Amino acid sequence: MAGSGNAHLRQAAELLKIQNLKVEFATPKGKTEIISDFSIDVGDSEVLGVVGESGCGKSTLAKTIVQINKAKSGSILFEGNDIVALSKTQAKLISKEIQMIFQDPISSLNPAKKIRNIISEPLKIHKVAFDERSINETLSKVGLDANIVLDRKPRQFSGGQCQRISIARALGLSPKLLICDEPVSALDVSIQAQILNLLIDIKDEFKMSMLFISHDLSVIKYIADRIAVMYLGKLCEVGSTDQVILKSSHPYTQALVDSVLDVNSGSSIKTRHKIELKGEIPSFTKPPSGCRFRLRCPFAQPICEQDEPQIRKVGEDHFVACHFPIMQNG
Amino acid sequence: MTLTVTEKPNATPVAKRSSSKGLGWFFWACTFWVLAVIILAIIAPLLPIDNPNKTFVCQPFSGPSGSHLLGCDDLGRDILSRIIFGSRVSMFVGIVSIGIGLIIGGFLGLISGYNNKKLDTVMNTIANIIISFPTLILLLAIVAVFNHSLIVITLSISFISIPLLFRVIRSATISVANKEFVQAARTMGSSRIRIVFVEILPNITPIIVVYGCLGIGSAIIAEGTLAFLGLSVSLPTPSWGNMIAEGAQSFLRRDFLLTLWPSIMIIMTVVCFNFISQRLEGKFNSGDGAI
Amino acid sequence: MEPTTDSISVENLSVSFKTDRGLLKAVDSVSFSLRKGSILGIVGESGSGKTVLSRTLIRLLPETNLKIEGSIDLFGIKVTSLKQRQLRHLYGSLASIIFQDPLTALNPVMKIKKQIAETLKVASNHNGSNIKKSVIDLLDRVGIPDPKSKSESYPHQLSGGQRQRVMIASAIANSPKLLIADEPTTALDVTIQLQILKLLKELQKQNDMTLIMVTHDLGVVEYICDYVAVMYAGKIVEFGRTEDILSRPLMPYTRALIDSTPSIHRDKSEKLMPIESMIPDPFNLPKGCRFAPRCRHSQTRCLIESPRPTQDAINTSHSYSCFYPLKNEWAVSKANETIATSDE
Repeated sequence: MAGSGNAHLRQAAELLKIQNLKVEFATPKGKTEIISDFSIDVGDSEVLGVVGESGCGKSTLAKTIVQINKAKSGSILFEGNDIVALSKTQAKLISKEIQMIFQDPISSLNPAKKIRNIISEPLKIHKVAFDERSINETLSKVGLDANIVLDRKPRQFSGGQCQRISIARALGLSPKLLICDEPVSALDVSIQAQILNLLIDIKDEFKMSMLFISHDLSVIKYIADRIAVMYLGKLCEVGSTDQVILKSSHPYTQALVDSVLDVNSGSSIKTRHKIELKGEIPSFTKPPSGCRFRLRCPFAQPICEQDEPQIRKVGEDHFVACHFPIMQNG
Repeated sequence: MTLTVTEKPNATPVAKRSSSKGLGWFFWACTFWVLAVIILAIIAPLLPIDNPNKTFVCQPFSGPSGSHLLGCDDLGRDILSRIIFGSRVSMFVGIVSIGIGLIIGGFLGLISGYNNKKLDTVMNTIANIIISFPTLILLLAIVAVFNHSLIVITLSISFISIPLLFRVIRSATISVANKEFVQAARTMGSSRIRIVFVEILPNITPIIVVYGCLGIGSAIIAEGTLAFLGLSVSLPTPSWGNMIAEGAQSFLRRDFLLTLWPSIMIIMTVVCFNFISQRLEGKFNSGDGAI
Repeated sequence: MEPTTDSISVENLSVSFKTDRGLLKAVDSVSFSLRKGSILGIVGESGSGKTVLSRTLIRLLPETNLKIEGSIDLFGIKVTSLKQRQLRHLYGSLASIIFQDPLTALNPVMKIKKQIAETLKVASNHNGSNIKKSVIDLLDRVGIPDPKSKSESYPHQLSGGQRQRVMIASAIANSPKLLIADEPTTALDVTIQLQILKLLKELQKQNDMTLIMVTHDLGVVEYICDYVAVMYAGKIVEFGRTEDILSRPLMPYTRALIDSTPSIHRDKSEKLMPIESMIPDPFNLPKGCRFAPRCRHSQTRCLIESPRPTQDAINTSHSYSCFYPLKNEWAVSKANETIATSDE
């Protein structure tokens, strides 16, 4: 895996097209590449799920798209404009179209501000006219009662409620792309389902696209149309949700699918595990040569050490970066 | 779906100390004292008390009496009046110097703490250099080079407070700047200045208040020290520090009360400021958040 | 089950915190018993009291503002009647605990070998060279590669999974009869989670240890636990064998929890059924059944009267606190249908 190439990018005009993105962080030991040669695209009204373990670069990807992190090279085309190369004022215009929801619902709201000010802040920044009524409307869309909510501060709300407030804040500008960085992983299961359903409803209503980042394949499966699997800053596999989960082609994807502990699967799960990974994710500072997954891969061969696999097509809307992809029947 | 607001159900059940019990009577007593001193200092000329510099309004060294509540000093001046007029110096120096310190040090701390690496390095180095001088010697040096007028004393104390307040506010800014809501503001296209003043500043206001109160206490002591050494406002203008000095000279002769009254004033006022600061800090830390 | 020397039995246990807002009952009249060598999962959402319950079992909570009522019997030892200074003897060989975040639970300035040696020294039958060997043995048993050189490292030099292994090593160092694992895999990646759960299961079997897993994740329960206690707002609302609870839950809360969990085996068109609203304010609990205000099946009685734990007539290992338990799969799907239609 650890694939390069752009074979999986679709030709039609896409909302977001990331090409050969590279992101580096300076560490005391020198520069570390967090995302290397990464390409992906997101279509209109499409939910792209990005899945991977901690340190695979998925959060960095999100933060690079919303311009918190700087890209070293490559391009991020949003409706044809390259975010990486934009000037400050142009970038501000685009930031209106791309909103983000964070993992920790409580710390992503300013504790010193009232909900009223939190929700109207993006409107003030972008000088969008608003009144009490439009704010109330947005709040009711996320299932909150404006009368109760507006004059309180974030600490008076539970995690689920704070996440609703975050969503309301993002919706105020009617963005075209909503980036969700593990939006439900800090929430209890019952609340998690509320928020997931809310996100799905909102996506349909606002005709938004979504880049949904999670470590949890079950959540991704529920919400995403397409899935991209990342490992150590590289793309392993991308394709439609069913293709990636049911016909996983990359050994890493298969391992992820196999490690999901799932209550609805019946008792067969205890015997089902096929691929089990040894060891842990290697460090970014010295990634393995060739395929970055090879050290943990049960199928690794000498070629995996020498050559980095290129992304290639294995099915209809299904691409993988592996020298020895798993061929699943059916 | 509607929402009922309850206290966060998953808030830790461990007993929160003091937060909902309020600040306690002692806090309010301290606040009362501080406010009383400030108000008396402001309206001192309007009070029905003798001119503090007028000599022989009463018998020198006469003890407390009905017409002179705290008695008289060696030159027959009314001690109460001198204390009240003396508080004008102490409070002016305390509040104004720390006010200046907070405005300059706070502003620098905010901008250097939020994402400005080069500036931060430079500012931090300068602050460290200033802090490395012994405070009192630095004060003496400044006063010696210029003069010991009220303005010079105030400015020199604020000069010393700037790097200290800078450091406190800078580190508070850094810790707030790493929170997700600051990132959220960035993704919304908020400008740097807007983030500093709209997102970060309200969160460090509690720290500004806490360290402001603490700083005022220290500034009062610093002024008192200079005055005791005869390096504050020139006599006969009273200040608590020079009253102690005067009393100390006459102490051997007669009356310890001359030293006692201004000392009590300094101690009470400084203790009150420190206590207010400490209680507020506890209150803010207990999660009752920003004001 | 009568308290015997080879079981854990908890009776009428209540744990309250004294707070400024009044007494907070985090655990309310909880009873259960567990045979030695089995794995119990305590599941619940945040605020359900699962962590307080598990820590009270070994009296780990600071007891200055705490009130414990009822009795806890760990293998014949009455934990509730122990004096503070006797508690020390409880830890190590009788019971120990591992936490969610191994980085904060390990001392950052102490080498791994020293931390484990410290636990070993509590049990007296170890001398110097003996301890060194035992430490390396332990690290080897918990699957740390190259235990000899790893024992020389500090916690921050290890990865999350390895740190959790070290925590486990020091927890099992004195072969405790009871190991409490408080969300041991929540902070870990899925592939690592599986490794750690396997390890726990293996160690449990080898040592015939009783394991209590505190978790919010039904998948973890299904994977590792023999028994499950489902907690809601301080009460155990359902208790039984894992397969009974997960495939034939009687309490609507358990059913709702399962239905709101996303699954990769679920069809995409199948919508998740969230539990509406949120858990009650612990200072202002509903009068009757605590789940009633959120329950799809609640009736008037549920809002007035509090249900007591009831044993299932056929399957006596299964108990629940509900006036209108879900009868069987058929009843469940029927009930869901009516809800679906009434929603539209």
